Amino acid sequence: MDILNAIVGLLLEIINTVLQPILEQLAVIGFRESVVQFMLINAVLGLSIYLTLNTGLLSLANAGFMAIGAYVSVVLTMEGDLSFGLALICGALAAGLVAIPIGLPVLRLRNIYLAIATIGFGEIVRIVILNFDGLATSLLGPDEPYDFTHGARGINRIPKLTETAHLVLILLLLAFFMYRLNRSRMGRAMAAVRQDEKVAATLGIDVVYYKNLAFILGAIVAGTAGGLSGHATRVITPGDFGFGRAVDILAFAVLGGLSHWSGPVLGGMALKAIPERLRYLAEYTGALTGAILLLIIVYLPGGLISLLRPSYWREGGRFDLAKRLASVGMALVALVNILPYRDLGRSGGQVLSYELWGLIGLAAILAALYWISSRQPQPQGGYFALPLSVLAGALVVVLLVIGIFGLITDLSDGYYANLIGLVLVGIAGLITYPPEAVGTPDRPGSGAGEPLSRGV
Amino acid sequence: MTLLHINRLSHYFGGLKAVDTFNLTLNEGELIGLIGPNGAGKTTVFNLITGAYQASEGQILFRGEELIGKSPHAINRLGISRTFQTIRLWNMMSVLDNVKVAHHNMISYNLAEVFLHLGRYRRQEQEIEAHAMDLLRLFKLERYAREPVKNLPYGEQRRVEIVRALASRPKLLLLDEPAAGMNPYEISALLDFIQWIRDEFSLTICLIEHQMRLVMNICERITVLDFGATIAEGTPAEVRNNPQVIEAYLGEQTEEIL
Repeated sequence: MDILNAIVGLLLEIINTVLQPILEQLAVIGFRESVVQFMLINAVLGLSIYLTLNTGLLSLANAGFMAIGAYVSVVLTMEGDLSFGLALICGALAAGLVAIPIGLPVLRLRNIYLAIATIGFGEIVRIVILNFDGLATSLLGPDEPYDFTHGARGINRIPKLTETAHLVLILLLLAFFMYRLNRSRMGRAMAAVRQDEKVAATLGIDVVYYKNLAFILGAIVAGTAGGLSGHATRVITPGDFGFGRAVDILAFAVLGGLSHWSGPVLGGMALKAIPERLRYLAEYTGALTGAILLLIIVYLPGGLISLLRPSYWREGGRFDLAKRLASVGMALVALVNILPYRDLGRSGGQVLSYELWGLIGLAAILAALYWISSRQPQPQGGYFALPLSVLAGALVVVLLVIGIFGLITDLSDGYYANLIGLVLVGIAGLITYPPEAVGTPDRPGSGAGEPLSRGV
Repeated sequence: MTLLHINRLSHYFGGLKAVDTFNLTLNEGELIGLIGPNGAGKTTVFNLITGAYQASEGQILFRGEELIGKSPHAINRLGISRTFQTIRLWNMMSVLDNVKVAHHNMISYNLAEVFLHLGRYRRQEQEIEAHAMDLLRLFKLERYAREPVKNLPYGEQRRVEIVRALASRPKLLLLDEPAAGMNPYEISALLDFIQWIRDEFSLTICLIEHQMRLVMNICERITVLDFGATIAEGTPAEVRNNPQVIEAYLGEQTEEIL
């Protein structure tokens, strides 16, 4: 036990030395340490949803397991005086144990039916926690009234035990586990069950076993994330782990993509970082985050992770490549110039100037036209061919102007992003030259999301 | 020696009798054809043998062991593999991984060994990788090993599906329309291929096929199904001349077809 403690201590120290400078840099651009912590917790949650989705289970139970992990570990550290590490492990195991009797009947369901059943499970967990004190008192006798979860008020003044180094260590361990899992018979079997479970069964894979294994592992990971987030917030209430949280976790996978376990990790971190970055938009933050998700689903069905796949850039030839380069560049230039983060917190709701809105509108119209034309195959020299190349050219010019404007006026914090964005737009322009070819119809989608599972 | 014995097997889909008191006996090393018009219940028989459906009535004995009530993976473990009418590979995996998954039953390491790369993990992974590559080499597919399986041409995908079925080391191989979508040239290659794998892997093969040339040429015995019931049984020559078969299945143009 002592040796284990010493090893963990040493690892944490090493991580801390590496981490501190990075955290300082992140704080400069507006990501305080607490934000980074929640990004990392989201990353852990992303792994838990990956485990279930990668086995073809559309499960929304992760928020419920997170609640179990959070409450068990918080009660243990506060009332039971257990060490943080042990409490975390107990919370994770409690979630895993609950997953066993839930999974056996519920995992017979498929797709949307499984989703509905697991939403039900999440609600049951929430309501049980809400009424836990009364329930325990009435079951165990009124002599010693139980006062653990405090109903809807939640647990207050939780010791802040979660350090960023803990999160990094746990995320690294889990990532290592996922890496090895995917190279084992278990990982292969889970992928096979996701892609065609009937075939998997006829080739010797115990489908029920692997579905339950994935569900339980997902619950353990979600429980760990729950314990970590409980000790990072100071307050937990049952409402923190409701339906909204379950959908949030699912959105990690949608944004990040499912072709690799790092997809939901990336998605989870992004879904914490984006609203943080957009905080000055106040009540519009949610709407904009939703819009980003929508755009990802339409234009990048494989999620953010598909951008990191070399095959995604190779497939579709140079025009698709150019389009993607241009869109990434445009996004960078636009984000840096349209969303000034320099005044985060100080100036509050900063209103965009009319000129800027005009430019955004113009760019949106052009992009829409460009997209429509590239969707419909046009005969050579067709109606759209010339005007669209002109329009696309105009769009690139507008963005170049915005980018250059940003470079001049915003040297302090937007410089590199502007530069990269401009270079990408420029490369895109070079690749698509000569301009007649701009109207080339899209190749059929590459890297698109595959159906989660196929019915029998 | 009897390998598979199906006795008075019936299966209902609601009120529809898809398989009606079906009998079949397969001896070790035999190559048998199962034919019949569309919707005759041939694939349903395969689904019943492999455990995808639970039979309503009857018996399926594999080396004396009752299969009805067993789950598909347990039946595979006893030594039965199949291919599908339409290609059903795991499209997002590489060819090698597709074959590796089918080795599942030959591995016994646990999760802790996976995480720490201890003991059995390395040895068994190496073993199945070598075995899978050997199989791919035998079928001249080794150059595609790392390729995503969806990138392969149709004919090669069909072969990968057969390799995958063989990887689980079956005694009995069920082929569901192996010649579907193939041209005459490919079918004559398939003729030799099926006989070759039977001898190479000492298998018993039962195949469903609509291509009469294939069935008549390589099957030692043929069973003809219509509306779930057996209407004829025997050698290709016997089946060919059976008036009931001609009426129910081959229609009026028998001579021209055969």
